[in-house]
Amino acid sequence: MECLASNINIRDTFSEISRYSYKFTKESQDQIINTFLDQVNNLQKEIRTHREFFDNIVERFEKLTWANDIENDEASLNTLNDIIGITRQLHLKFLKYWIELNKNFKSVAKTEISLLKITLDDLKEATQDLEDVFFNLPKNSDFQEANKKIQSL
Amino acid sequence: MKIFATLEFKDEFEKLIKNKSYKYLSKEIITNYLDVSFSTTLSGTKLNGNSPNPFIKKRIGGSNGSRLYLLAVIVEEAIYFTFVHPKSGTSGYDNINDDKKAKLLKDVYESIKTGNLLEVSCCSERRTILFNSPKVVSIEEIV
Repeated sequence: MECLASNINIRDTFSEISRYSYKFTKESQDQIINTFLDQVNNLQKEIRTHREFFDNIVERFEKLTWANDIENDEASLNTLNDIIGITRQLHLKFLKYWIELNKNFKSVAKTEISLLKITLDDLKEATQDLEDVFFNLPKNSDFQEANKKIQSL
Repeated sequence: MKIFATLEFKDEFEKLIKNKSYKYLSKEIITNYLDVSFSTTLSGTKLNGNSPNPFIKKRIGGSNGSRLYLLAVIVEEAIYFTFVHPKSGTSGYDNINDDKKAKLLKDVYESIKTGNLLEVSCCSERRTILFNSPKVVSIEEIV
């Protein structure tokens, strides 16, 4: 009786290991790794897309400062004020996103995550510059006085 | 195109390039200003609105690089370097405030008026920036 039970046990164990071995093929391993790598690639691509968008915005902000017809145009100044406000909200939203990325995915996308932070810092700086150029420096009497002299050169 | 620098710029620049991390500044300035036409130098953030002579903040060395402040005087096709600061590293910081910008503008005006400026050029290998006092031509030399 005891011998029969042992035989069944041995056969079951054999079947279980065989099934597992059959399931665990090279292809199945590759599929899991490839799925993971695809997700890493998608994450890196997504971060790059965000960076490209913000880099483009920073350049557009720089170009806006060369426009000669904005300073005295109330409507343009109001729109600029809205741009500054919405960009600051967007920056804050992305800073939270960056904190999550840095906490959870640093091991798989270290470079992209570091570069995203630099891009976000740039966006913050460009937004501040836009505010300085159109709203703060025109009210700075020392700056305006020096600029007046410079224009007489 | 003529390129000048204030004494403050020279001091700041020379202090920075002693640090290996900021050696790129020379190459960036040579590439962006010494090898190009005047019109090419008119890019970056224009800080003084509608004014004909632009006071510019320029990003050099990429996003995390440095910020260069310069004045361009259009009729003379001249540029004046006024200040430079890195964004990262031991001497790095984010930005300068508006009062500092006003001071830079005031100081460069005084320097132009008094001739207290240095001419900017580079060595023949185009690796090092040179600051020379403008040659003062005496009336005797002209006669």
